[in-house]
Amino acid sequence: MSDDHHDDHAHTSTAGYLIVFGVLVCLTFFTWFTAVFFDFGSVGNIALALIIAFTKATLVLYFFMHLRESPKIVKITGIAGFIFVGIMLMYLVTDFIARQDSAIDIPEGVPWSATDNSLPVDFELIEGPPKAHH
Amino acid sequence: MSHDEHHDEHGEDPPYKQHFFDSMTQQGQSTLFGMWLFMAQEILFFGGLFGAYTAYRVWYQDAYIAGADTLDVVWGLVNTIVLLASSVTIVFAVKSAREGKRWHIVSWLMITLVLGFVFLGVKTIEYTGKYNHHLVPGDGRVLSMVGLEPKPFDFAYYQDWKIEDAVMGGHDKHHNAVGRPRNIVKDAWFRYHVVKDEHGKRIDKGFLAKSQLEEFRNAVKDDDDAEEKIAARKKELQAEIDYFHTKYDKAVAEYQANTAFNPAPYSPDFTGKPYSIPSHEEGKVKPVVPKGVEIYYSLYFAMSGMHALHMIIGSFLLLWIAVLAAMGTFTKEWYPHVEYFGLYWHFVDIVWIFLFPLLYLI
Repeated sequence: MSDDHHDDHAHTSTAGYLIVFGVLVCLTFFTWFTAVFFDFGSVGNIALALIIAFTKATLVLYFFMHLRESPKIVKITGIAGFIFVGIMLMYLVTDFIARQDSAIDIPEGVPWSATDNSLPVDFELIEGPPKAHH
Repeated sequence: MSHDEHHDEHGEDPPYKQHFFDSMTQQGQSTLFGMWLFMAQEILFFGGLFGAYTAYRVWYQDAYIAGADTLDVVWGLVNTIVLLASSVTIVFAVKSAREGKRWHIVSWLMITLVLGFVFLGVKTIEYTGKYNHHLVPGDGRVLSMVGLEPKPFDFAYYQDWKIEDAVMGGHDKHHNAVGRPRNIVKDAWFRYHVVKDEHGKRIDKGFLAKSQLEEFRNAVKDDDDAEEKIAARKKELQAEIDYFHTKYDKAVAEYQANTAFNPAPYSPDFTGKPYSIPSHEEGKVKPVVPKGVEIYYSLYFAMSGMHALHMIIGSFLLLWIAVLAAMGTFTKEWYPHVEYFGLYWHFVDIVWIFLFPLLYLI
């Protein structure tokens, strides 16, 4: 487009693009490596994978999609999409967490993941309050 | 149009300036803004699919893990790198347009198109594999309607080759072909010990031991040697649990030694029946299908398919823009098609950046 609102020197150079690409590839291998070979618990692995994905998306948005050089209105529009999806997912997740009890019985096919994440083989922890000695 | 201040700045209007804009600056900013609005709603559109993914993941965590295990992470990695590379080539196309290098634009666009086809080709290979083992949503009626032959749901196939691979690759029964811990196998042990209480509610062995201990505690609480009795009972219950552990490991070892295939040794139906060795006939392994895995495949096909559809549409746009570029339509100052197509392609890339870990890895 016309360069009225940004100068040529503001653009990322070829080397710059290649560096960003290299970082993105490294992050891809990193997310594969951590997800496959490390066990941080199911929530931990999901959280780490998503953090890496957001980092990669930010790099693409900022450099490849020229958000770095774009007018503020464009920056706000780009970020707004993610914020609204975030709001939607936030309400969805809080709703599902709050409804855990109803997920126990219905429907019949629902597995136990929603309720039986803890595996209380070690019942040391759930023995109850200590009794007073006489 | 009589002359106004913009005419004074720019001289004659370029032919590509739309009459309803005052200046090229205004036109450029408006169209860029419009393109970003389009992409914001695309983000919301895919957000709905990610929401469905999240909601069902809460319920069908096991099925998601088992389903993701049947996807080949290597294909996913290859596709991720290919798509990232195509993002770079399209960036170079935009850069060439900015520098007014007409044939460079065409070349970079063509390279991008080739990379896009590589991605779609890999996707085709993956989809074909899933279709051949009927790891597709639905009971086959839809397949029949489009003239395809429904096949039996063959989930075990993937478990078998994963373990064969694992043997070849020097991994053990606790790790799959790519070395990922078979957590589901471990978890599944606990599934065997799920029993139902008098209200029909599911409780597992450890939970049962806890309530048994509670009962015992109440029964003996007035005795003089209550503490000792409770301690002894607790030891008994722990031994019972340990026994189940041992029995499980032994049964798995025996089973794996005596079968041609080494299936993942967990409950075939997840119904919470008492512990038993999975049955097999004629050396064939009974398919082990976690409940809800069809939902995983529905989401897999819906999300990756919608992403692929965006790429197919993008490929047509790309061809059109390459033709425009070859015809010399674009100038140093005016190349919105290239720039906005670049934005679209990057958006598709970003969607994949999220799909890859969500569908293949976790």
